[in-house]
Amino acid sequence: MGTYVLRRLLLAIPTLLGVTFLVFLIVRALPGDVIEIIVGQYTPAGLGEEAREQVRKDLGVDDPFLVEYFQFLGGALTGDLGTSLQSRQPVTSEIQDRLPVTLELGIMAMFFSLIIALPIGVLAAVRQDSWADYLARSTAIGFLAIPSFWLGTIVIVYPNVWWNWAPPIEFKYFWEDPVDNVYMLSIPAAILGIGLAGSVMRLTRAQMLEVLRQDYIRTAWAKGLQERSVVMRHAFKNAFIPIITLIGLQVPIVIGGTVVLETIFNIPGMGRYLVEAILVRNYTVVQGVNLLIALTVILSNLAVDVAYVYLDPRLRHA
Amino acid sequence: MEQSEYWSRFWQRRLTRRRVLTTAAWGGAGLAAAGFVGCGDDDDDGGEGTGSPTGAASPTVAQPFTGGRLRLTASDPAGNLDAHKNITFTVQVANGACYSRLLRSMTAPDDPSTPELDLPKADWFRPVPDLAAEYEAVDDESLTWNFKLQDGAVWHSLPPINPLGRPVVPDDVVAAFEYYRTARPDKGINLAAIDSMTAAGTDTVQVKLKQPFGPLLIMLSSPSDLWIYPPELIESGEMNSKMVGSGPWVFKSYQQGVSMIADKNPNYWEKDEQGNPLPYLDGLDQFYITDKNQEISQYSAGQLDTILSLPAQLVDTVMDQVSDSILSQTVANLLFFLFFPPSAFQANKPPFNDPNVRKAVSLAINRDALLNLASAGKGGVWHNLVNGGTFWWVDPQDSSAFPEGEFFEHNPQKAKELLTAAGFADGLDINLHFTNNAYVNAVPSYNPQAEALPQMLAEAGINATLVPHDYQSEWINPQVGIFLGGLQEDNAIAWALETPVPHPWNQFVNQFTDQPRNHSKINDPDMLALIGDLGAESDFDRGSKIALSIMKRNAEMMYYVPAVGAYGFGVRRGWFERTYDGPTSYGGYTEEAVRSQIDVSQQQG
Repeated sequence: MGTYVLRRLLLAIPTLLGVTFLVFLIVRALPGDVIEIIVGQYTPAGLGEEAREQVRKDLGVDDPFLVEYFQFLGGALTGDLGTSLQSRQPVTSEIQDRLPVTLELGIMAMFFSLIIALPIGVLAAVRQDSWADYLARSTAIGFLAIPSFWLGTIVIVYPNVWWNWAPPIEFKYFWEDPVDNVYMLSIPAAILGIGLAGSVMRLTRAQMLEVLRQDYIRTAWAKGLQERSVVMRHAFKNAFIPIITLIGLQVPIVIGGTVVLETIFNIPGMGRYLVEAILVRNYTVVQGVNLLIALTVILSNLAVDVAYVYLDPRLRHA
Repeated sequence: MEQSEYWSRFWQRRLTRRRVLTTAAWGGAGLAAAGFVGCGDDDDDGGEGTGSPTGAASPTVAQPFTGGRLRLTASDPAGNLDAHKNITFTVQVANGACYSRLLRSMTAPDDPSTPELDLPKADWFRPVPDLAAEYEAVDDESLTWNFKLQDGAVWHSLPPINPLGRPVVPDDVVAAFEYYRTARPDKGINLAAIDSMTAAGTDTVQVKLKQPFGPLLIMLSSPSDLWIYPPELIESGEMNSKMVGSGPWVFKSYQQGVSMIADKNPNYWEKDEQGNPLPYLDGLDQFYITDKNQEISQYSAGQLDTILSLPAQLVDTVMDQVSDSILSQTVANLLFFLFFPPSAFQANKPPFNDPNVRKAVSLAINRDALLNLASAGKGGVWHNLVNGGTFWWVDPQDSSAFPEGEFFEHNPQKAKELLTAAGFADGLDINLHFTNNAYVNAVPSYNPQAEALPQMLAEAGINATLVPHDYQSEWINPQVGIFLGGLQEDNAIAWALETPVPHPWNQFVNQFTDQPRNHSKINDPDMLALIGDLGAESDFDRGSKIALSIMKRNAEMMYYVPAVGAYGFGVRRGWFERTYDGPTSYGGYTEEAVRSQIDVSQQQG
């Protein structure tokens, strides 16, 4: 297992290099320039170029592309992602403030997704073609069809109109106030989780239906095992393997969802940070955040593969 | 010391209709309280003047409400709190809480009969003392000015101030000015007329000018320019992450994308005329909420005390939903306008080299329709070259004051006649450029107005094709951007807006001299002479006459086609008392919040 993980980690290096290079290239190819934003619109014509050169030098963005790229890589290896061109603060420390928030939101969203999707998916399969199944399938399609930004807006507007309720206004970190923190994150996490739950629910149902038709399940029934034992111990564990793959694949969707919901719900996470950085062409932040997102996706896929091996003895022995 | 010549005539004019305290170097706080309890008198009885800019006492002034925290939303300074390195209004607004300027804009109406939240336009941007208690020109040419600092002005008791809470001294102001001139990319162009700033004794800063500079006091009160930063903070390199100043609020925390929290400065120098220390509030909680639905929900639930900018379309909904809301209405200090290609002025290229064609464009615009579109039918004003949100504006519809306003009327027939006279009897085909991704949230009326213009122009025979542009790359890029680089086609016009400047002179310099904001690269010696005269003029009334001449000259030549300024709206909960609703100012935390009050017994949330 150790060799397998190591091999996967080594294989991740070229992927990371490719991602960082592409991001580095694309962010500079975007129309617009952070220098213009910083120098501003008021600089007199005669001072314009001089001011621009000075700002480029101050920000350390006056080197050739490849030099800057390798400087970025060298820094990234030591945990230094450069300095934010806007705030002039280290990108690493700014990310350190925001990463836990987004991680928490993402984990909570996946948690909500699973506690909604798995029981309903299993129930729909076990009670195939019953009213419960139809209701579950309709719900899943509804969850898939509702965009999270729309649901977020509805959750903000209607409870306010009906009950004069609004989400908490000031964000509190978990270590500052765990109760307020969980309260504030639970609403966007539930909204994000609903979006994820639809596909998990449908896949759970489909996998369960397939497994429930297997011979060993018939054998389990024939042995006189209780329904709970047959469904949960014998069917669900095997049906769960492809679901884990789906959960792993949902990590980028979770990251994309946090971008929108962090903005709507005023949560200071990575998603909002990235959007604001793109708007002002803050190269260093965009690079740093994307590197981290790429790393997260790679590691989550690796975690899925490791879990796969753990759950399926055939793969372990192979 | 006597007040400056610049404002003296202005104040003399107003002193006949107000009572002025004889003792206050800076007063007017009681006005806020008087207005608050609704017991101000008419105050037409005149009184002795000391040249104090504000001040009025009501015979039955109630004690102001004290305590409470003001909760509102603002735009995030994007992680950098240094207004000279991060030149944007978001930082300037935040700086207004914790830093002082030498002067600041009007802090309360000085006429107790002024309806609440209705600051007389003549008072807009009137400079009053901030860190400088008194100021005067000490020579006949107004080339040397002395600014005497407030007694008792101290720095906040926060590191790196050493020793903590030490007094503000003239050398601090000089250091802040040096930082202003060296740190900014524009090298402090707005105060370029200042030759030197030096300490003159233990409590006075002396400013020497290169030439007479009429707008000096307003430019010193501008929140876009000289904030007085302490030398310890400048040297510490922490300017971007914290604010330690001498203003009414003491910085507590800033979290990018979340909030800026500041507490009342217990050692602030200012008191109201009853001797109550200012500010009245315990603190400010400024939240960075980007979603308007979220902001309205928070306001409705009582977790925000005010919404400073409410889209006109949502005004009725919010007023219905939150019954104790008080609505305020202003015209923003923004100029919506059309401009023409530089080739028309530099190479005399048709069609827009002919003033008649430019006037035809103006006559084709239905300004009332644009207003209705922008304000959801709630109205506004027609801009002149000086916009309707600042002083010296002259209404183009006032035919006696501004007969050139005939070219601002909606008259497609006359527009066609002018086009025919200019040799375009068959009309014109042009492109109408605008940026479609800059103002969607901040100035939501900009895009719909751009989209309405082609139909208006078509009535006059001008077939305009809308061409949208990315703001960063194609609009404000000084090399190739249309707004700062100029239109590259001959048959093209552009729909744009100017962001606020503290003084009309500042805008004229931008639009007609060698600046990026001379959008059409206009070089008119007559106009330049007028702008030069205005820059040197130290009398308010004479200045307004020169400004009128500049507006007339613009209308005659129609260099820029001013459009309209729709009313902007704000709401506040009944428990939140503001001193006034003034013009656009980024210095509001010092100018207005310092006197704001909250009835904490009513405050929700």
